Amino acid sequence: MDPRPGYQRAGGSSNHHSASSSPALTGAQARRRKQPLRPADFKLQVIIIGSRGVGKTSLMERFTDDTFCEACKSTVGVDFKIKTVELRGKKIRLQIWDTAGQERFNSITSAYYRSAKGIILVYDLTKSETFEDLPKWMKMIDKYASEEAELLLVGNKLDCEIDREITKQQGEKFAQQITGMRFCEASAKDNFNVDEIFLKLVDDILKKVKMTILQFTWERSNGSMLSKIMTNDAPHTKCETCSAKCMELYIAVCRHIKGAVIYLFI
Amino acid sequence: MEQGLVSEDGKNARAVLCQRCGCKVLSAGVATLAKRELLLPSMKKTSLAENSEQECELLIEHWLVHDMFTFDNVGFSKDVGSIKFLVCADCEVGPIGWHNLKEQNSFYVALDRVHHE
Repeated sequence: MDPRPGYQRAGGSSNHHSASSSPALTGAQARRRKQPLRPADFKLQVIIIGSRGVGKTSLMERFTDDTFCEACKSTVGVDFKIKTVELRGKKIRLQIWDTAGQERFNSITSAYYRSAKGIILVYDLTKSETFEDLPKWMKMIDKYASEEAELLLVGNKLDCEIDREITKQQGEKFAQQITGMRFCEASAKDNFNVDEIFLKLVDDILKKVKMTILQFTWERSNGSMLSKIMTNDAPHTKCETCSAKCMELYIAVCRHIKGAVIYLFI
Repeated sequence: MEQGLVSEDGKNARAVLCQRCGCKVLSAGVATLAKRELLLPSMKKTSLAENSEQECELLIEHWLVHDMFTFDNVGFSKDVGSIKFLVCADCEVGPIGWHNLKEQNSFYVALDRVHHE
């Protein structure tokens, strides 16, 4: 448990308005946006961290696989997965990293942290030492992760209630100390709460992404277009007036926005 | 090659699916046909094979994509030298494809290792 009272991450997730969070676009990125429509609306990186043996890999497997078959697993082991999920009618491409076996290699994992939009921190509720490791993991998050990353604390192995060493309250209390951190208990073994965990995290990330777009378009349009953009929830609505140019929304807000194509590139 | 797999512009006319569980790997029209000799470990593996040398198969026809986020669903194996093998994201059957870390923007899926919708 982190001993510091009122411990907060620098720049908590409730703050959507820091100027540094707007996506700065380079010329190359703007050009890339002129490619044909990509099939995914969003691309998010999620990493799963936690001490050895807490069940990080099973969480990833359970989410990506309901028809798990031990015999068919490749012997090399999976590093990460690209997964497409749909949430509120939007296609979301998830890149899911499981950091199992790499707990020691800080230089490698720091790269994962930096690009992650969502971080799932896992402990084993039947092993108190994995709970006591949490402040150590929070230090890694503070050091390497984006301040904007959504955090979710998961007490895994809920199926082993008999061996429980960490109460639900203890987990809740830890999460409450950290701004914007969510908490839940789950069981990867019987898939309890696992889908919910991922979808909840994705939902939180998407809400934040929307804020970032609004902020960006506000800056580029001197505010005049904001109300219209705010009503434009669907990311691929076409600009009725100048469909050919609406991809330039990110560079200079299209002048005839009745709905524009908003390309997300996160 | 099976008829009707490649569209006029050289793309995959049909979606690419896992042979075993049907999980969608690539949507239609997102990958180009590429011919390249690539060695992929055999998909069929007996318990004996673990002790003997891994059997490999030379595959030539592949769907090529240049961005990993083009995939609908796919798993990347841990590094084997500079290679990452691609597997099904759901049932992890594979390898179905090949990625060389030295060629950052090329991801190959062998036509013989997948189904087409």
